Amino acid sequence: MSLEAGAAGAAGAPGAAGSAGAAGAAGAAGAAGAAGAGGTGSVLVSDALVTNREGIVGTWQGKTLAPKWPANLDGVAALEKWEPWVRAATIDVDLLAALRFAVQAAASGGAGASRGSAHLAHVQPGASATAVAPTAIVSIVQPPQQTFEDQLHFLDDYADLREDRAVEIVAQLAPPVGFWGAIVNLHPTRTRWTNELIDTLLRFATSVEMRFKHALDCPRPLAYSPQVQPMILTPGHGSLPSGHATEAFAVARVLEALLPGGAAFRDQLQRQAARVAINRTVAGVHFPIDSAAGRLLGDTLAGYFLARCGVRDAAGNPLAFEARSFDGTKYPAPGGPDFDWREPLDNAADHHNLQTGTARVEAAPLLAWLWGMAAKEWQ
Amino acid sequence: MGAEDAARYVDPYFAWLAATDFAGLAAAKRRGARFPVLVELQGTTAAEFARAAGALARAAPESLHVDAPADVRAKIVDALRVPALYLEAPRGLEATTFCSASVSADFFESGIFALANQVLGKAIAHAELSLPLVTAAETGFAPFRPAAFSGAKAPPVVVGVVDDRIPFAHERFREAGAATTRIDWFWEQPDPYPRGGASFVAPPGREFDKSDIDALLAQARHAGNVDEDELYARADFPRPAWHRLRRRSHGAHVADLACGADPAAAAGAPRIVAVQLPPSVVRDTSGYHLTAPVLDAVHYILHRADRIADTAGASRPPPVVVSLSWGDNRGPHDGSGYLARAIDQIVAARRQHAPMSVVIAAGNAHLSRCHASLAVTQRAQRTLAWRIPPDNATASILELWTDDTGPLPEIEVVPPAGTASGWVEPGRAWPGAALWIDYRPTPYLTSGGRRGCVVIVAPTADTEGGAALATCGTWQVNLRLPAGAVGGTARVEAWIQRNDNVIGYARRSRQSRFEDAAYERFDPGGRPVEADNASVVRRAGMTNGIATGAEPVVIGGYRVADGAIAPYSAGGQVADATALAIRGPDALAPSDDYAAARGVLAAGSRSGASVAMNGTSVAAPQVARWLAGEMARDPSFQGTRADVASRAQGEEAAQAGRTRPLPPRERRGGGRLRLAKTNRLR
Repeated sequence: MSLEAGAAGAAGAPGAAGSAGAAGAAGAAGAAGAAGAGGTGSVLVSDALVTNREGIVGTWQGKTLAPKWPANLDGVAALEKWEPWVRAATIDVDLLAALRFAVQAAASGGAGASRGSAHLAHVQPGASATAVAPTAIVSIVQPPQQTFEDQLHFLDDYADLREDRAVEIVAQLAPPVGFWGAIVNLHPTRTRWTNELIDTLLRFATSVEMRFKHALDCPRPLAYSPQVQPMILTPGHGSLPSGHATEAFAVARVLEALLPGGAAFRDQLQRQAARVAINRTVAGVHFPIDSAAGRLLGDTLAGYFLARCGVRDAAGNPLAFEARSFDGTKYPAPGGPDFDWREPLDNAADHHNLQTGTARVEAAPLLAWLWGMAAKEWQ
Repeated sequence: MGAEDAARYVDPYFAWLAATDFAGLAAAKRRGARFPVLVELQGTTAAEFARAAGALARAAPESLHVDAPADVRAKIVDALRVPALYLEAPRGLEATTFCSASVSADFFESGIFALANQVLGKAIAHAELSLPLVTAAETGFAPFRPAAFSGAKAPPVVVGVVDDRIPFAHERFREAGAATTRIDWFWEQPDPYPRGGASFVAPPGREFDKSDIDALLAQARHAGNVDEDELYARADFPRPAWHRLRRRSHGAHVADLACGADPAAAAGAPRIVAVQLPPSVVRDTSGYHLTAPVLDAVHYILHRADRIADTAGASRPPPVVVSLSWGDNRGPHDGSGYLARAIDQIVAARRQHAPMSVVIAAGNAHLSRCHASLAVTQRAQRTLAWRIPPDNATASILELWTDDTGPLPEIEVVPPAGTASGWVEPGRAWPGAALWIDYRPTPYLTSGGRRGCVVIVAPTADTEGGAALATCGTWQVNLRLPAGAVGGTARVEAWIQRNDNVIGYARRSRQSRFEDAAYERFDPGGRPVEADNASVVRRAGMTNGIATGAEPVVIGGYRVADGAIAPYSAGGQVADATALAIRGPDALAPSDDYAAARGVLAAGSRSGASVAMNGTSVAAPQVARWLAGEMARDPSFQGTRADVASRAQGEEAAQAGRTRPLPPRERRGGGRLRLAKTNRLR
C-alpha cells in the first residue's frame, strides 16, 4: 500500500526450500521453494498477493465451490497429495508405533562379560499391550568385550586398503543410493516412489539400529588403541550393530523383493552391501562383528518391513518373515573370524545367527500403499 | 662394534646387519632365525650338494672330521640346509652349480663358514646373503606332491611368471569359458615378515596345483560367477592375505600381459606356472632380498614345466619363457653377479634340451641419479656428493666397483655433521654406528673382474627405536689413489641402491641420490634431459642389476603414440676412459600409450577390473608373450637375444618416418617392437 511497505518488501528474506523434513525426499520441494510456496516464502510475493487480492476480489459471495469430502478416515488415497516429508512423517508414526523395545540383563558377569540382550518386538497398534503378546522381530545378545579386543587386529590389517578404498568410503558416508541405483537403475524422478520407499526403509532401520546401539553401548575401535586412527570421523553412536551394514543389507533384500525377477539382482546387491560394510572396517570405525550383527539386523528388519508393506507370496498369502537373534556370545573365539557375508542367517542352534521362528503381522495400510506405488514403477 | 668384529663375517650386508643388531629386521632377532643365501658351488652339482647338506644336517656333531670344540661342531651341523627343490634337477640342469640355502646366523662367521665348507668338501665357492626367514623349520616347502596335471597333450609352451600379488583365480588365466584354470602350478613363496605383529606365525610357502585351483573355482561359483573375494578367503584360510584385496596389482598386470587371455577364446593359450614373491621381498626395493627367491622361482618353473610335459607323455621338455619384472642396482653390472651368472648358466644348459628364454625388465632408473662413473688418478682426489633425505626409515646403501686389473682407490666418507670415516684402504672395513664401510675382499665384493666396496648409511628417521641414526644432507664420498700406487687410472662405477616405495606398501623409504652442479636435469623448455654430459652423474649404465648377464632378453619401454623412448627406460653404458662397459636392453616394447594416458591397460586384481600401469615392468611381459607365441608356432625357435634384437631391427627398418630420433644403441637395443595386441585386454 504505502511506498515504504513496498520498498521493505523488496528487502525480504529469500524463499527457503521449505523445511528439509526427512532425508532425501524433500529434494523435490526445493523447486517449490524458489517460488516462495514452501516454508517462509518470500515477503515480496506475499505482499504482492495482498495487494493483488484487494484489486480483484470484489464483494464477498460465500461458498461457491464443493471440495471432495473424504469417504472415510485415514484413507490411503490422500497420501499422494501430500509433500514427501509429510508422507514420511505419517508413515513413520505407523511403523514406529508398532514397535516395542526391551532389554534383558544377563544373570551375572564379571568385568567385560556380556551384559545381556536387547529385543525388538511388534505389537499391533490399537491392540491392548497386555492382551496381545508381542511378536518377536529381532534380538541382539551383546558380545563379551574380549571378542572386540580379539578383533582389534583387523583394524590394523584392513588399514592397508585405505588408500585403495578412500574414494568409495567417502562416497558411502551418506546412504549409498548411487551405488544401489547403479545396479537396479534408480532415477530421481522416474523411480520417485521407489526412492521414497527406500528412504522410509532407511529411516526405519536408522531408528531401530540407534535404539540397539544405545542399549548395547559398545565402544568403537579407536577406544581400544590410539593407533587405529580412523580415516573418517567416528560417528557419535555405539559400534555394534553397524548402521551401514544394517541399512545396506536391508535395502538389498527389499530391492530384490520389489523388482520382478529380483533374484537376478541378488548376488550383486548382496556383494554391494558386503562391500559397504567392509569399507567401514577399512575406514577404522567398525569391527567385523559389527558388520555381522548389522547384516542379521538389516535382513531381518527388511523381512518385517516387507510384511508390513503387505507383500504377498506367490500363493497370495501374506508374507511371513523370519524372526532372528544375533548371539554375540556365540561368535567364534578366540580371534573372532572376519565378517563372512555368505554365512547362513537361519541356524537352529549353536551359531551366532539364529532363527527363532517365523511370524506374520498385519500390513500397515499407508506403507502398503507406498509399496504399491513403488511396485508399479517396475512393471 | 669394532673392526675385528666386522672381520668375523664373510658377507658385507650380514656384517652390517649384525653390527646394527638387526635393526629394521625385527623378526630376525628371534632365536633360531635363519637366513637364505644364494650359493655358488665348485666341483659338485646342486643336487649332490643338497644331499650332502641334508646328510650334514642329520649328522651327529661328534662324527664330523674337523678339529673343533663340541659347541662349534654343533653349529656346523646346524649351519646350512638346502631346500628340497634342488634335490631333483630340471631337465638340462643336472650340472647346475647354483642353489639357494638357508643358513644359521653362525654360518656367516668366517671360522664357522670355513669349517662347514670343509665338511661339505669345500663345495661352496661363494655364498651371498638373501633374505632372513623367521623360523628354523622353514627351508622351502615339502617335497613335491605327485603331479596332478590333467592335460590331454603336451603343451606347446609354458610361460613362467615371477611377480608380486598374482591373482591366480583371475578369469584371464582361465579357459573353457572361465570354468577351469590354465595355471598348472602356483607357488606362494614363504613370507619372512608377514603383517600381524610379534604374535603372528609366518605362513609357510604354499603350492596350489590346477586341481586345487579348479576346486576353489567350483566352490566359489555362485549364479554362474566366481566370487574371487570368497575364493581367496578360502584359499588363504585361516589367515586372510590382505594384499589380495587391492585393486591395482603389479602381478595381475604383468601376468595378464605375459599370458592372459579371454577365457572364451583361450584355445592355444600357454600353460602357466606362476611364482608369487613374498610381500616383504617386494617391499624392500634395495633388492638385497631378491636373489634366492628368484633363483628358487626359476628352478621351480622349469621343474614344473617338465612335470607338465611328463604327465602328458611328451618326450622332451616344453619350451619355457620366464617373465621377470623385478630388479635392483646391485653388483658390478658386468654379468659377474651371482644371480646373473646363475641365470646365464641355467639358460645355456636348458637350451641344449628345449628352448628357453628369460625376459627381464630393463629398469626405470634412467633419470634416477643413482649412478656415477669417474676416473681416479694420482693427480687429484675425486668426490661424489650423495644426498641422503630426511625421514628415511631404511638404510641408504652405495656400492662402488672398480676394475681390479688397475689400481684400487681408497675411500673416505664425510657426513654433513659428525666425524668422517678416515681413509679406508682396500681390504679394510670401517664399522661405525651410523656409517659402515666394507672394503674387505669377501666373496660378494670380489666378483668377476671387479672389486667392490659397500657404504651403508643408517636410517635418518627412527622406526622401531634403538638404531643409531644418520644425519640427513649431503654426504661426501672421497676417492683417491693411495700414495704408493702404481700409476694409472681407477675407473669407478658407483650405484646407489634402490630405496623407494612400491605402490601398495607403506611409505617408509626415501630414495637418496647423487648431486652434481654439472648435471642438467631439465632443458630450457622444461623437459627432462635424457642424454648425459660431462657430469660424473650418469644416466647411462642403470640397467637392472640382475639383467646384466649374457643370456637374458632385456626390454626397455617406449611410448606408442609417437615412438618416443620412455624417459625413465634404463640403458647400458659404453666403455671409455672413465667408464666401464655395461650391457643394455635388446629391444623396446610399449610401456605407455600416450603422453596424457600413461601406461598400458591390463588386468586389475579382480576379473572385470582393468588398470593402467607403465614402466619397463609392463614392456618385458609383452615380449615374453610374443616369444611364447613364436615358440608354440615353431618348435625350432630358440628365443635368443639375437632373435629379439633382429626382429626389432626389422620392424624399425619397415617403419621409416617416425618423428622422434632414436637414442643410442645402448639404450634401445634393436629398437621398437610393435607386438600385435592379440588377445590383449584392450
